[in-house]
Amino acid sequence: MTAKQILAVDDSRTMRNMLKQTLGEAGYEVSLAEDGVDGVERLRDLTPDLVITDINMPRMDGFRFIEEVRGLGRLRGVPILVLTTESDQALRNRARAAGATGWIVKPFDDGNLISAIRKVTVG
Amino acid sequence: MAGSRDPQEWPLERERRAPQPDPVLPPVVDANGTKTLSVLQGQFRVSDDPDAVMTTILGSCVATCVWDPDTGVGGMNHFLLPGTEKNRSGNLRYGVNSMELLINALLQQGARRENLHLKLFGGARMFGTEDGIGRKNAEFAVWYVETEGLRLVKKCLGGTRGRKVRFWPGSGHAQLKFLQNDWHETLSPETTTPRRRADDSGVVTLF
Repeated sequence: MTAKQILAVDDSRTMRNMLKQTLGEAGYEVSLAEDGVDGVERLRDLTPDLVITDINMPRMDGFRFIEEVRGLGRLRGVPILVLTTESDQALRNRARAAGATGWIVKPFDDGNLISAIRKVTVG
Repeated sequence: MAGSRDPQEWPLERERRAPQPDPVLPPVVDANGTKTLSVLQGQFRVSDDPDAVMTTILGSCVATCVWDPDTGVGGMNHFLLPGTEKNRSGNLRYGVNSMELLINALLQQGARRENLHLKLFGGARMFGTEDGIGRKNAEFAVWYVETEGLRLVKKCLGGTRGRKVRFWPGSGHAQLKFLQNDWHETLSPETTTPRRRADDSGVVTLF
């Protein structure tokens, strides 16, 4: 069985490094992008099993990015988890309406993150 | 909810705990119209008010002062990496989160990331605290700033004395005063009545 692929989108290099390490150690193959524009670019030649995205990012924020991903027919069914410092309910609703699968408030806990990923990537 | 604590306990006991946001204190306005905003441990504040000055008192904690000279937006955080070396990555996350909250709030108020200037203060080795706590906080702050490619224009970190920092978010001006070793016993009582706020960090919601 090949490793599942995750695209992680975050404008903070520190966060990208942490995600790459945590997810890599859990056996996932991780691609990184530094904002929504970069994420869309990466998805041209990548069909990940899961997308993780931050919300507050320059050029293209997480909401727009989720809409863009859902607009690509190929990726209509891919789970998208938001990983953000925000915890506001209105923002969660907005992400849900845009097509997000879940919402995780930073700072993330390794165990919770991995079990959420397992839940949404079964099969 | 945390119960009331003996003021003498602050901050040495509190600094050993994971940061919990305390209630944000209202600004104190003096006769000249200067608004003093206190930043307590675990908090951050952002302002574009030219009359605002942010203030904090640091032992082994670190405060990051950030501002965008073009837009006159600035802010300060006050953080402590919790725990021990055993859970190093988990501890780092609290620091990263504190930095992200501050920077995101600045960007939302119109600051531009490429314009951000930073000053770092604190990270002292305080009498009665575990060796290395202050150093760990200071090293984290410098590491984060370098990793993120942010512009550090001043740092005053380490040593063995507490610091009182005043920061004018509009101009980036900062004033630093070293404190006597008994400073934690002479703090005004209003800063010693922390209450915890619901914190849903790490919580996963699946839609």
